[in-house]
Amino acid sequence: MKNLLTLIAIIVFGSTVYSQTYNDFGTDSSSTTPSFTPSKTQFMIRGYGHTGLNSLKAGDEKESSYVGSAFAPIFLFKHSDRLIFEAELEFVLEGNELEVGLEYANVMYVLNKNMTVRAGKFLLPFGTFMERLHPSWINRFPTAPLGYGHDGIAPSSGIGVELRGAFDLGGPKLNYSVYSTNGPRLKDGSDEPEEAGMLLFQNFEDNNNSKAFGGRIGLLPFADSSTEIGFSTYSANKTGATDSAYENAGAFLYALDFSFVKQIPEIGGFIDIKGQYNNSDIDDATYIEIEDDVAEEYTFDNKSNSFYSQLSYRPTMASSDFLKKLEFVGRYSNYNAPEGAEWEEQSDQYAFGLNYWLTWRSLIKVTYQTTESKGGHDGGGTTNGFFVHWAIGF
Amino acid sequence: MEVAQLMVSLYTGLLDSNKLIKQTIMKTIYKIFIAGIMLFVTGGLIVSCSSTKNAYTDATDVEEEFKIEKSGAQMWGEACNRCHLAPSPADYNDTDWSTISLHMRVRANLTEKEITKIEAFLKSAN
Repeated sequence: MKNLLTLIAIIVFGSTVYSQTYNDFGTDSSSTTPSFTPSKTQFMIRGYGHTGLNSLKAGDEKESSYVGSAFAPIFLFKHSDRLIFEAELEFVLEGNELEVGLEYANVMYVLNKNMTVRAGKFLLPFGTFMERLHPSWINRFPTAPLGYGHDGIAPSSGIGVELRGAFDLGGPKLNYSVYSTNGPRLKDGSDEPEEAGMLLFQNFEDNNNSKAFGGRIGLLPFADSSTEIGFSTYSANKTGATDSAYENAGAFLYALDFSFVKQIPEIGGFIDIKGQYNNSDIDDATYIEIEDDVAEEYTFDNKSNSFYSQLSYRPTMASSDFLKKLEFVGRYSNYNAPEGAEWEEQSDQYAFGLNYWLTWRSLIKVTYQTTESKGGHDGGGTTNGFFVHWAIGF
Repeated sequence: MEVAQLMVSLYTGLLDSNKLIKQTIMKTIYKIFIAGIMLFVTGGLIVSCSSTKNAYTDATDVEEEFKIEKSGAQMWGEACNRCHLAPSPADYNDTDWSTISLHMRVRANLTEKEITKIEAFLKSAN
């Protein structure tokens, strides 16, 4: 037994000694092995979230609630220097229930210096708001302008394939994107009569054989990239379900967008101007309205438009650190839904805000917003809102 | 008589379907026409606003060291601020910046030159 223990001890300590003598700082890993290089395959989680207090007053009705946090993680998987996968989930509390949404999930491949292809579900470059500016840590207000969101006319995302890229014109720059998606689905009023004639853009399964085609062309005419003018279209020849009375109802949408961002020493800070005009033209169709148990047919000229413009100012050249982090922002938006539709609405909205930037990706927003509506789901009127929100990107 | 009525109804049906096809074709042509005009106007704007000189470095015969080209830091300030505040280079490491740069190149439709220089700057300053 003693011999056995001695043998084991010799082997253990001997191997340790041997391994230690193996280290030679003249030749070992510190000099011969190449320095650490990151692999081309990388996985990363980014995203954003926000929370806050909403206080709304519409007529005699008042409502004040701490709004549940929204959490939107973005998953990035870089497969190589040309191939990347991105996906964004959205967790939101709605009506005491957790709602989970897939904002986008697509794969992108850089074909050459001017061309990238991507496929899957992606944010549509219809203007710039939904694709670039809607995340809560980028949007200067806690709310989206009129014309976006559930009842909006601007498409936000689609499933399909897209080709996009940019050109350097020796100072000015040009960017483009063209895409084809499953296209929108026309709401015929069978499920939600009050929304008959609206387009539903979240079409995971195409309801007909017609695809939607669209694109955007953006021009940055000045070498300092301060200004961008964009024009977008989105068209579908068929929006109704195959073999339905609405199959051949087509839709044509276009948008014009503008952006100007520049630090101007004369006014001691950054000026940021954004604007977008959306226009939607859907072929007329006959819908059914049930009143007093009697079905009545009706139709309307299905044209809608919306517009927003936003101006913000950050006194980044102020001597005070506190002032440097402030931002003054104002926004006007307008939405006109078709006359004669159940969702007929004309709305104007003004929003004013004071933001405080904690870091480059985190801010506190204090906003007052007033909306004047005629028509709409809630019958119209004036709604005033006061919001205090905190948003962070990560 | 019945045959004649059938012929008339068939002819009327044919006319209606022809009319429908024509309407559809006209709508399509109209949409293409409108989109064409808008693209033409935008294209005209691009051509008229584009610089007539060559890309930065080829404009003159000056020596290499006198070439005027924007730095990555300058492009970082200009390109990122178009949508959000320019990020702090220190907030991510080189590996992260590689992933973020590829992502932003596609998302913001940046040129290859812009993203290459911005990425190099972020990695050098973090």
